[in-house]
Amino acid sequence: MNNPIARTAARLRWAVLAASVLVALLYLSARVGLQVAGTDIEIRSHSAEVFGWRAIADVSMLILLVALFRLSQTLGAIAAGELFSVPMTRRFRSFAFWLMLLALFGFFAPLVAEVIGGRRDGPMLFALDLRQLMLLGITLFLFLLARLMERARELEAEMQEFV
Amino acid sequence: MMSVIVRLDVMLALRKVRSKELAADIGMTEANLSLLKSGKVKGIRFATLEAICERLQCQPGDLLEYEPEEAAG
Repeated sequence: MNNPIARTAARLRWAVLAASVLVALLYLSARVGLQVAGTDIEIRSHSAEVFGWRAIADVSMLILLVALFRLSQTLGAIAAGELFSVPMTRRFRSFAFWLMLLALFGFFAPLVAEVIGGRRDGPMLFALDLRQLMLLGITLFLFLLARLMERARELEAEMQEFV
Repeated sequence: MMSVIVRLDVMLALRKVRSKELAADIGMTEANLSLLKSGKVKGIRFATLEAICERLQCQPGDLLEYEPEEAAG
């Protein structure tokens, strides 16, 4: 692990793992109503008005943690020196997939919950969250990045045939 | 089939230098030198070519030869 990219990836991996644990603990604290250092922690969701919003928030959190875990695996592979290897690209693509799932779930789950729950008063509510759309756009770009990594691997393999 | 033929084995014989010796002198693995000799590489770096030419006291043209497809076939 002597190249700067690998060292940065190793540090970033630890940061991602630490952030994942912290986010999970804070979420759990909020979920069971615990105080952290004398402070109340609260879960806020743009779909808090929607039927079953807590379940939506739980699933979203779970998907986010899986995505972060896959990201940490990707960074781990880079830290091990696998710059454009097949397993690294596969993990990166998996990270993009879980992130896309998170965006799609965040976008459609409140709509489905509205339909299932049914509004007692007034018309159905459709809240368009631009952050979710932005996230979806970013994940699509990540898939393109995965394709670029595959191309880079092909070029790297070709370079190895030069003496 | 490649049209550019590597004539490194001929130059090694003319200069009476062994492959192992050349590989050590130019800092290349014997496996890579063997691949180069057999033409089973996609390319050769200028740095490698320069090192071989310097060691064998020859020109790039002494090591590489172009043979048109028809003549080769």
